[in-house]
Amino acid sequence: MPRQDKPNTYDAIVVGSGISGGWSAKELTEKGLKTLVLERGRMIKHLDYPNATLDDWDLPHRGALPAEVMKEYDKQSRTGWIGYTNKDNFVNDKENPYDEDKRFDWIRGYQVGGRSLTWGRHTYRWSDLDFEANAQEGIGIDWPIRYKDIAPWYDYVERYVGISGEALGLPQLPDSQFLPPMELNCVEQHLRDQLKEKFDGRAMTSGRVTNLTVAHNGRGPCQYRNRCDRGCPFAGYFSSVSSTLPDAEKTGNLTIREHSVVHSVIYDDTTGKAKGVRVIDAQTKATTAYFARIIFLNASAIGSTAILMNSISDRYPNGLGNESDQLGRNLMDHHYRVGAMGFIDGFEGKYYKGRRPNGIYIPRFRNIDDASRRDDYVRGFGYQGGASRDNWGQSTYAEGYGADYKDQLMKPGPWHMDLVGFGEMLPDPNNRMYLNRDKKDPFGLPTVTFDCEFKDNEITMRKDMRDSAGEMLEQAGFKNISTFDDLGAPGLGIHEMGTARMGNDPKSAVLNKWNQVHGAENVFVTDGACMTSSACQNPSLTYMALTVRAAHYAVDQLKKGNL
Amino acid sequence: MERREVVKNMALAFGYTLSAPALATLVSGCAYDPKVYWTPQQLSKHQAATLESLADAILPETDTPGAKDLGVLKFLDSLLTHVMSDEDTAKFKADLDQLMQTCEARFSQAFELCTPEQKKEFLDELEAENPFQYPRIWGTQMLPSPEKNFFGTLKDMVTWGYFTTELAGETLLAYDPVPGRYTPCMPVAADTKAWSLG
Repeated sequence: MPRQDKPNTYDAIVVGSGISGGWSAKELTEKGLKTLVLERGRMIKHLDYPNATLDDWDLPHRGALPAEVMKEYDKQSRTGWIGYTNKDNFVNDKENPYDEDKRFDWIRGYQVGGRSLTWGRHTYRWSDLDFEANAQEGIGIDWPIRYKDIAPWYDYVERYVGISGEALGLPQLPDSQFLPPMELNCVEQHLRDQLKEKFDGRAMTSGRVTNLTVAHNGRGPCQYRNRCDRGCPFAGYFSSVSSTLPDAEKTGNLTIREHSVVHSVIYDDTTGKAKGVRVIDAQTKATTAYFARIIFLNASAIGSTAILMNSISDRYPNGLGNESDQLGRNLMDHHYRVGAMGFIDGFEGKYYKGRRPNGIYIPRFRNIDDASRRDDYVRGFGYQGGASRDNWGQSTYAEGYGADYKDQLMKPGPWHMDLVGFGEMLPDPNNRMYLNRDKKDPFGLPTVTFDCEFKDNEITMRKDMRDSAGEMLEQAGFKNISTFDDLGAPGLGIHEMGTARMGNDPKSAVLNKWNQVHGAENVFVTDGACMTSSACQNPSLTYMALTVRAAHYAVDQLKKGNL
Repeated sequence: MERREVVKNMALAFGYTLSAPALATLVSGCAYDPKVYWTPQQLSKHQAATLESLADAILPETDTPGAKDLGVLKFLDSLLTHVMSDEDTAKFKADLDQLMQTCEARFSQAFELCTPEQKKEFLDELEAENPFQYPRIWGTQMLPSPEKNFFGTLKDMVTWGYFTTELAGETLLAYDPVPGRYTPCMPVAADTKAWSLG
């Protein structure tokens, strides 16, 4: 709810309602701030998931989208998984255009909950191996924080979110506050044991995911339906819609305004502070200003940076806080779709029950100490994947036709194990996004153009990612192994980050160590934009922890009269 | 008349050069009037008859229903009409026509009228042309995948159309819409059904 004393005025404004925006909303409202959450897409309330329980035969065209509809999702469908049941949780590319000097797959979800509805749900802590890498190698700039600064906030976030996983005690992948892990199936257990034995203790574990193995904070547990990206009526995984936003609402301090496209932050040159934001109503196109003492930009890495770039003042003609010219630069993602697949004999009499929305994780094992040092590339990668037996889906590779073929398709297919690497991408100032002020979107805002590519370190790392995956399967007795390296383009990992990096020096960084915009300290950016390097772990957990850390700091500073 | 139009359209639209014997066979085929029990939107009666016969060769009736019984042909016609792009629909029909012609040129009759031995000989050759394929990962093709011929594509489409029916999904396979828990490793017999839902 707004403050009563002035129109359109709140204590805090949060732009975006995805995974970090939901956390900002929860923490700020629970600390007593009247908070306005601005979401550019439609409202979704928990249980408002119309396709959640539909089977293929309940859907138009069994869930396939007509070609003319797919054309409107031409960029989102580069993922390969846009269909009838989830398309409304992804943006319509025709209505939300962007340009590519080089191919960049900008995968977005414009709705309350954002991509927290469709995310992969893997959650891994970073370690000092990650936070110190830039400084040690002289790449990019140093992170202004270390593991000890974020560790308590990881704890805080994890206790609320609920993360299923197994504690391994690895220095490069610190353990979270875990719920019981999802179990590995028989073939995955086989590979895990083989890796331990034949690769000097190399670890493999169940994916650490926000799917709840036990009921947690009134949510879940996961029902093993594997239909997460439609929205989960069981709240079996973590999304803003099922957790942070309802809890923020319970405080009585929350206002969510949907269909609200933020144009820019209003900056007051005389006070050196932001006053509020300009909002375009997506339906009426009317512009309204909203005011607050603090502003959290949680519009996603690209979205938040685009807002800063469009926030022009005499003091900051090149975008708010952009004294460093780093705004929009150092765009990163994870590179993936590289690894190996193989079949295995001897497990024909074994199967599983339940559609586990998770797989395996092989933590980073390269460049973690002197013994694992590579001289051909820096940083490292982890693997996701899993073992499974296809049902009729084996039709795409099963040979033959006729009665035997049909019989085969009705039985569990051959076991196969897939290993898909996710690798770190180095920050590079030449990898960037920028605004095209000559081409406006349907709301009259400048459109985004990408100029970003994978470079030598990533390409070299991928060879090792591919070969190491093949080697592990081979040593573990898999057959008919195929390795692959499908580079694609940045963005496809949907871990885009780094366009407003954190750093102590305003001359080289956009945000300080508390995620405040240098020069506009009452503006906080706590989504992927803030990242100074990318590590190789799925990043959302770190966004959540940084968000909560920043929110508590913001409230503390407000109380002290410093903001 | 309908068959004649097909010949004319094929020649115009796809620039196929039909050899004289093939053309003669096609025209003589006019005497044959296949029965179709519903009105296809995209397919001619002859195309529908051949396609249905192909679908049933891929998934024949055994102790469980065949593709014909589960209306796969109607589903394919609906895909061609409502889902596939105009270009893909045209290509599908051209590929089907090509297959029909090849079969007629070889056996002097439509595929659906061929003997079981002729059908097997014909389809075995088509199947043998298809390269080994790897499974998809996360529903997408990460591994290099050599292109399949029309018969290979058709196998995918027919199988999809068959196993996404309610009857197949709920009774022919093990249907468990809300498993509730995960059992990672359990013994199964050789005749265990696969789980229905992906």
